Amino acid sequence: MKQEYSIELLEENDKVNFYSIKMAGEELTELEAFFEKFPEGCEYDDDIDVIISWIDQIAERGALERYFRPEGNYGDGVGVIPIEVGNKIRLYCLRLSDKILVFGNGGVKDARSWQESKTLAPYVKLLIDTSRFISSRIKDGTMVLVDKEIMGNINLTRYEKV
Amino acid sequence: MKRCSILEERRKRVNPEIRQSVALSFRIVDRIHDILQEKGLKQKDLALRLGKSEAEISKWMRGTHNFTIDTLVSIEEALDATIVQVYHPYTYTESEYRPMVMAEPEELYNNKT
Repeated sequence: MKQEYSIELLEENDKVNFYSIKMAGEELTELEAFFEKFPEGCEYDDDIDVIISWIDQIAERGALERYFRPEGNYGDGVGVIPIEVGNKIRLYCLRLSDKILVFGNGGVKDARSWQESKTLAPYVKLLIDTSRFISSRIKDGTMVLVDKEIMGNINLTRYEKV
Repeated sequence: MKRCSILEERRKRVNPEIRQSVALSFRIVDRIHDILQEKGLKQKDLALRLGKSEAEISKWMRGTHNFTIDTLVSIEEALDATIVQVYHPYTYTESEYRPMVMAEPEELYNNKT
């Protein structure tokens, strides 16, 4: 299945900019779609509150590597927001530098690992592919990371195995 | 500065206790990180001194760990440094106040006095 998407700037902060993936034809970015799945008053309020509190600390301190739990392949920057309270919700992200963080989507943990979860695996695979595409574009010069900004061609296409 | 309206709306409803708990956890792990750097140590050195795995220490250092008093005491012992002390501004004299600042960098303390 062909997927076309782009990387959209969501929030600017002093130390880090937050981006998210936006699928072609969708109104919301992946991060916005994630929060829409868990409105206030849902059974996962505590998890969502931890996630937002963590995001706000990252906004103040920068996306330092030590704050992330790696989830993808070694060194690809794909991670999950670490939650210990509740620990039922997973939100995945791609850390490009201390100053650039790209949020993907996530959901309820329903298996021992994302690889075993039919609902979560697509979100992680999307970020793993995105990491690979970005590395390739940085190498060929069609994309550059300048301070907190991603510059160049931010439109991506992938073919998802179904 | 660009903001995300959906996130902004949800931010307003975050439980203040959870927000404070995560903020304090970040301050604690930053303090531990600073001590490790000052002493030329790595997380694996702390793991060895505590008899824990490096993975366990990494898990603690991500900013959402709920540290127990026992754990904090064992880390202080292992690093021979103060991580958290109780702040009592009206009970202590100025000379006693300095070590009472909780896990804050020196410049914050200097700005307060």
